[in-house]
Amino acid sequence: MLKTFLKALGVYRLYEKWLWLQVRTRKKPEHVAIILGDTQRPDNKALSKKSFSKIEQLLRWCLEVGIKTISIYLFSTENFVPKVHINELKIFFERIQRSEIIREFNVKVKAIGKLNIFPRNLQETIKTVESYTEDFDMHTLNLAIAYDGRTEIIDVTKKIAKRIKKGELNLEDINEKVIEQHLYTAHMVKQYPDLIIRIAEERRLSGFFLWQRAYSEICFLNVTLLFLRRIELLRAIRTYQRRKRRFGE
Amino acid sequence: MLRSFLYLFGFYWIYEKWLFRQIENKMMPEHIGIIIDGNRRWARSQSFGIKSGYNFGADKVNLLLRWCLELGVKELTIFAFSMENFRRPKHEIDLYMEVLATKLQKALVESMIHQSETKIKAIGRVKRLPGKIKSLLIELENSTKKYNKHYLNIALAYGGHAEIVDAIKTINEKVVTGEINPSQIDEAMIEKHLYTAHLPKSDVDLIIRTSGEERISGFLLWQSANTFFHFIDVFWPQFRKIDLLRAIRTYQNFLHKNSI
Repeated sequence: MLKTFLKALGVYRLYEKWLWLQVRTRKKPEHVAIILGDTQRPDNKALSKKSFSKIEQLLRWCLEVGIKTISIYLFSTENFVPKVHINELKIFFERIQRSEIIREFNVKVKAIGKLNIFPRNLQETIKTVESYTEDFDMHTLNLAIAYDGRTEIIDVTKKIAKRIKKGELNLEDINEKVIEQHLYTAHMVKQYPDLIIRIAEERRLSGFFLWQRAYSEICFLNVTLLFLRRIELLRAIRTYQRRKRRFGE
Repeated sequence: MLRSFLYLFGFYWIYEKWLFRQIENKMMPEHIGIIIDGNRRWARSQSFGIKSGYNFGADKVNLLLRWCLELGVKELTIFAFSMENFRRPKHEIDLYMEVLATKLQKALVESMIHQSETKIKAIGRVKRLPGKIKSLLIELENSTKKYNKHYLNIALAYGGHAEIVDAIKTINEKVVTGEINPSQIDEAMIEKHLYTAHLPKSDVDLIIRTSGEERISGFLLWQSANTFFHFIDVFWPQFRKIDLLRAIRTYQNFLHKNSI
């Protein structure tokens, strides 16, 4: 009731403008990771048409603010239901490819996760989108599907074990850099997100970016995806800008 | 001023009792992690020296352990000193180690630890710590090694990345000798090689961070995959039992809301 009243008075629009004025003059986070709500539920709503438009809108807001890399956590390996989700994922990626935003903002699209669990036709669709946007270099959009942070670390361990067996790598060489080179995010210039935004009323990070989140600022937004407004995103960025990052010193 | 007034009239005491009533019959977190941040900033705000900040912080840790034992929390992991903290000025690190040595010495004769049968372990790249601290830790660990009712882990020279690197290195050493087959590498295998392998439950249920910072600074990266985070805008030396009770209440409320 009050909200509708305030909306009619244009109070929210004024507030939005004021937030934008505050945010635009300061340094923006270069890499923002977003955990959508409901990813842990079996009826993952992130792939519906409604959600897709909202994700597109969220993406546009991030790009307009000037964020270079956006990583969105869509799906974990745990709540993937092949019968239900394969077709939906296919449609999702086809929509991404058709999206105006990708061309307008020159966005390279990459899927990250344990992609080899998907059937061939879905992998093909994903590869098509990736090659289509390969030469776009102004921004990057990483879509985390079949992603689980612990699975990622296990895969890294196995990959390193293989390389050691082949003689390509020595035991003494194993350090943080080597691990980074084998993560699903190894293709990124900046693997570590500056800011992680969690949408929907939950205060967990659900195994997302387990390694990469060590020094990220975290922002919990108590609003579900479909009710997300630009105001919430701007607030999160403003909060990030106000924080003092000391990195242990 | 208002605080002293409220204390005088027993308001905090009543509030504390009320909070306790709310949480006592619900699911208590089994494993709590806490990032005790803000000792230096608190000291500066009181015009104290940094050493005072560390001393007050250490005393608060004692209280925290007592509160957790009263509530029936089985495992407590405290982020006391990170790998990145080694980058601080030498004199600050020396002061910290001085305070740490004194407190560890006191812990050796602390009856609460033995009465509650709490096993104490230092987790981290402990080799990097000064000799005196290492010997005190060995003594403390030995004197509590037969206990298994409660667990107190002190993360010293700890880094979440360092822990994972060390686990992967150890696993690969065993791959090279043939003790492990790469196909056997799974979640359980990784957990067996983390600093927290000795715990009945290495996964953390609730992580609290004080001082208003909202990041995890590499604390228990693997173990916190599904942890509930609670950030509180209070410097560690100011942390009260009410703050702990509130954190647990919020944790319980979210658990209830999100159970499918």
